Amino acid sequence: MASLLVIVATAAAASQPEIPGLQAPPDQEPISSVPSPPPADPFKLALGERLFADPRLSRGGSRACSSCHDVGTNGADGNRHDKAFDGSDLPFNTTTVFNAALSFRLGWEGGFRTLEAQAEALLENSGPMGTTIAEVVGKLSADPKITRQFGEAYGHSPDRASLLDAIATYERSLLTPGSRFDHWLDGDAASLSIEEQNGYQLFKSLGCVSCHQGVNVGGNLFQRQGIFHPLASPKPEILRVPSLRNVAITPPYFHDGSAPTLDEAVRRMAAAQLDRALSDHQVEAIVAFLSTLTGTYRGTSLVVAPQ
Amino acid sequence: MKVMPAAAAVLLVLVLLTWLSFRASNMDAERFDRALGALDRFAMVESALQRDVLSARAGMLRNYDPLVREVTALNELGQAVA
Repeated sequence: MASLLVIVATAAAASQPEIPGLQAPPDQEPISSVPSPPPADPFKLALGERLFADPRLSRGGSRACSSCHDVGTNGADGNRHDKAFDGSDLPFNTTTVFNAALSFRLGWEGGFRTLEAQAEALLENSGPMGTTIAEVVGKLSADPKITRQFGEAYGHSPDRASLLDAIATYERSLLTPGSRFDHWLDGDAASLSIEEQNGYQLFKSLGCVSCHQGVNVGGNLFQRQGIFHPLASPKPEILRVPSLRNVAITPPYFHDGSAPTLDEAVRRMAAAQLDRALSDHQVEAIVAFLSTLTGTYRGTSLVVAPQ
Repeated sequence: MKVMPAAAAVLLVLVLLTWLSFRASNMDAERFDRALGALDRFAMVESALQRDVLSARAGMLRNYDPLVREVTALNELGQAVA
């Protein structure tokens, strides 16, 4: 009778729809491993990858998404500020596109809830891409080859929704699992050296982990910057906490790109956000830990983008 | 001559049964079921969110991703019901 009840209860539990909010939170560490990319339609994925590198998505065909987000290196570039079409600096440092899909809001100010909304805004913003969706759709519709590709993926010729969906589908695939820290989280104790583990303990005990936690080591809350001391450019005061995934290979740092090295960024963050003056040894240990957060894309470890 | 009243009675019964059948069917039943299911899930996720907010406040939840997932789920369920 008891076994029958267990079977019935198990069957009832299995038939319940999965509710993400009710999954028991992992109780071990405040950081969780980067998952593998979600399954996606290969036609949409291939189309999105092609569009990401297509200069027709910008005014005058002079740049593509990949011009500033180089997926062959670190998903960004090495510039402090990229340039707008009028030659002026864009307001914020370009963040890496890798693991962007794991953040709850997008952009330094967290102004976008979805990759589609962000792609739409960047395409139509006069700074980065300087075009309109209608213009892009018009250009793509005149190309029989890519129109055929849209047909395979969406069953119709290019339009606003399918254009944005293809780009977002590709961006959702840009995850970087396989970092040494993730191996350590998954039980491979030899993945981290003693110094790196000490750096992680320091990262937790100092309080860095209060904001930089979760799968993306950040990216899941807003926070005021420059609490105890000035950190960087004082505006905007509230930022979406950036992810620290792949941080060792994505200099320069901060929203204004004012910290050229990770050592300096760690030291300034500790002073500005925690009111702590770190010793050289502490900085070295934390940087050693942060360096273990570098993941892989398509089986290859990410590298620093050239300046 | 006795056939006419019988035929009329059968016809009347048929019309009555057809009318009752239409009255008994609810074209929106599936939509109501979905909405009720969404409301049930909304209540469950809301409880989970309250649990996790309290856990985070008490320092027992150090990973805030569950909070994000719950708020996202509430938004999606709210849109499903609307």
